[in-house]
Amino acid sequence: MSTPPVENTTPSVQKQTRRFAPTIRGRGRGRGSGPADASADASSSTATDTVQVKVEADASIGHVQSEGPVEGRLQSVHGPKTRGGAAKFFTRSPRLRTTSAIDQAIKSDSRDGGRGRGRGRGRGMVVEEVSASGIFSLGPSAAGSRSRSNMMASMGAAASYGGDVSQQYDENGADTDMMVLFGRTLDTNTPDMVNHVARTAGELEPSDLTRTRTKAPWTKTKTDNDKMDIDTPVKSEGAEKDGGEGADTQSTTQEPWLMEDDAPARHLFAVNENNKVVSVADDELLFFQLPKVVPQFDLPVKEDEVNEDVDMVKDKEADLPAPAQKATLEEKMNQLSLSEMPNGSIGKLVVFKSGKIKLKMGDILYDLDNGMTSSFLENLMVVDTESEQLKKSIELGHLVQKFTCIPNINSLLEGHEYTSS
Amino acid sequence: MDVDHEAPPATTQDDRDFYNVDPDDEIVAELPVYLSNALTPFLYLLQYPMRQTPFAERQGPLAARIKPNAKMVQLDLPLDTRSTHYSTERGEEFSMGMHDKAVKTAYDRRMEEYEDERQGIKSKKKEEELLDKMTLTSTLIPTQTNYLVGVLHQGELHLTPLQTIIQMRPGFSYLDKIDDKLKAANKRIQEVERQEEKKKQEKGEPQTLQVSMKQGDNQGATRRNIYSMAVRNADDEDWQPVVYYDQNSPEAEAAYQGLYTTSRSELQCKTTRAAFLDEMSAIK
Repeated sequence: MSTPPVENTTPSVQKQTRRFAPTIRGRGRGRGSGPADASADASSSTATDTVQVKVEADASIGHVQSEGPVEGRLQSVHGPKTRGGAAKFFTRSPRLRTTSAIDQAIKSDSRDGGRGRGRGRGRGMVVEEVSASGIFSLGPSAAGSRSRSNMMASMGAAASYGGDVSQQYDENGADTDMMVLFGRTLDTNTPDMVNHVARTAGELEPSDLTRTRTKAPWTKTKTDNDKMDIDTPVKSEGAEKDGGEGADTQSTTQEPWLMEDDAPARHLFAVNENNKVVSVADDELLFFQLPKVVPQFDLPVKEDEVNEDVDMVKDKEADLPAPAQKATLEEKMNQLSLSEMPNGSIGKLVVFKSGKIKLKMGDILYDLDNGMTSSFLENLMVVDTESEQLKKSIELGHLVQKFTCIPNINSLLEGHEYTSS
Repeated sequence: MDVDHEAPPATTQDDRDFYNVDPDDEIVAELPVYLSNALTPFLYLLQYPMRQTPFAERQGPLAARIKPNAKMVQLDLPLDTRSTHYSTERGEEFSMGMHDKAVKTAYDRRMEEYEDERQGIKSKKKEEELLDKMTLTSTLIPTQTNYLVGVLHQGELHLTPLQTIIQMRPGFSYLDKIDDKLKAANKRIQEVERQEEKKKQEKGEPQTLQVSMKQGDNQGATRRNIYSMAVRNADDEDWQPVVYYDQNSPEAEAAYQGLYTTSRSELQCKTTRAAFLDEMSAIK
């Protein structure tokens, strides 16, 4: 492979990498709402609460929820909004009894008559379903620049509602956003914040499964003087990818070609000034995945022989006894794998302006899609253990791009008559 | 090396219908596709899940061993023992796992010193060996569908089927070896101590008899399922040492040519669309 790699770096396996989901913050979350809202929330949720619950923060560190991402992974989040599921670390604090004001608040809160104290919830006490108290009151995803007092207010809220935790705990609300909660106060107690990306975040918009597609221009290339066009005026031989100044004079007359940003042709082909498509992936190792069923190919039969052969074959078959006849039929029905077929031309690759690529094998049409880019090295080797002299294993290079070939069902069904029985 | 693909004839609406593309799309290039089976029986795809980058100049495998029938591969990668990231302590510890020399127990050393004294050889400090190889062992990935390796060359696409996919991961055989050696050393120590015990003991004392059961190899009709047969065959096969050539070597250049097809004759496709559909849908 004497062609230098196209990219500046080694043709690494990092082409078209989209290894980690982009940081699209969850859409359900309230963002950037300030402490004012948070406290408004808190204060509104406490029914008649005007009492600040005095919490001795040093006595109770609170509950630590494990770092599960908020969306999607904890069934507790999306399911019935209980806090269970994650491993929890509880501290029991000696001062469990809230002030009497809270008790009164609980008693006066007629919402869940009978709950609350009876279950002993929400006062920093260890119960399976309640999680919050202290700094970690609103969970790891909790965000918002809450000052202590605000948190206490919300805690008070939690306390006052006793058992009715599920209702007021808004996983994605403004008062749980980590950035909002802790962004303001930057002291030694501020937790380290890591940008959270939900597992379900990705290319698809969760609400309607659409994908925002952007268009990307075809890479422009210049004709390389030494090798191809000798007639064209001298142009600086740049890297094959760059458009550069030379191309501008001509490209003003042509509109730039656009393709989908995930089109398979993107890293395979480029356009030069003559509006011709040029391959930029020459002698790079490409990987194609086809379905198990492939069309069968065979050496072409010559015209004159055909008729003779057919007649002869027919006669022969008639002569064979019944079981042998069946055997030849089975032979014909046997599907050959690609490795058993002879060498030769099996079709053509058609490249479109939109970047789509179709593979036509015989009469069967396949659509090409980008395959999964692997994050690791994949080397192609020729292993020869049969030669007596020297057994060798030769590394040919690593796979640069992968493609998946999918039969185009529309074309397969075209003209296909279905008779309903 | 780039070939301008001749602009194909203008795209007609029929073409667009045939290829199932949008009304404003156009064909900009057509490349012939060739099938090549020259290298098919020899092509292996080696995946290195623990590596992100291709091998650098001197970091590639030094030696390889292959069991062709079992499709197992072992590679030795060199470790840079002089790098700042190399821990010589561990290197010395694990160097025991590299060779087959037995671990020296205190008794062995005593014997050696005794021998040395008799022969008048002064004991010399031996250079400590370091672990300088990482061995990668393979797992075979069963192929689920048709895979082809393709190369674009002079405006043509050449495809070669791929049948063997293998993943290479570091194997810690040196740890196993060290374990075995330690066990053997312990055994020897026990032997020696038992001998000494015996000498001290006086005659007539009841000797404890150690009875151990040997695992019978023929425990009647053992279940010979396919899996154990495969494992057994794999074990019986010998490792064949193989020379490793990296991708920049002349051998690689030569072998690469094998990916190109040898014949450009047009093959006839014997599968119609209807037959293909039937085959795919497994109706019959």
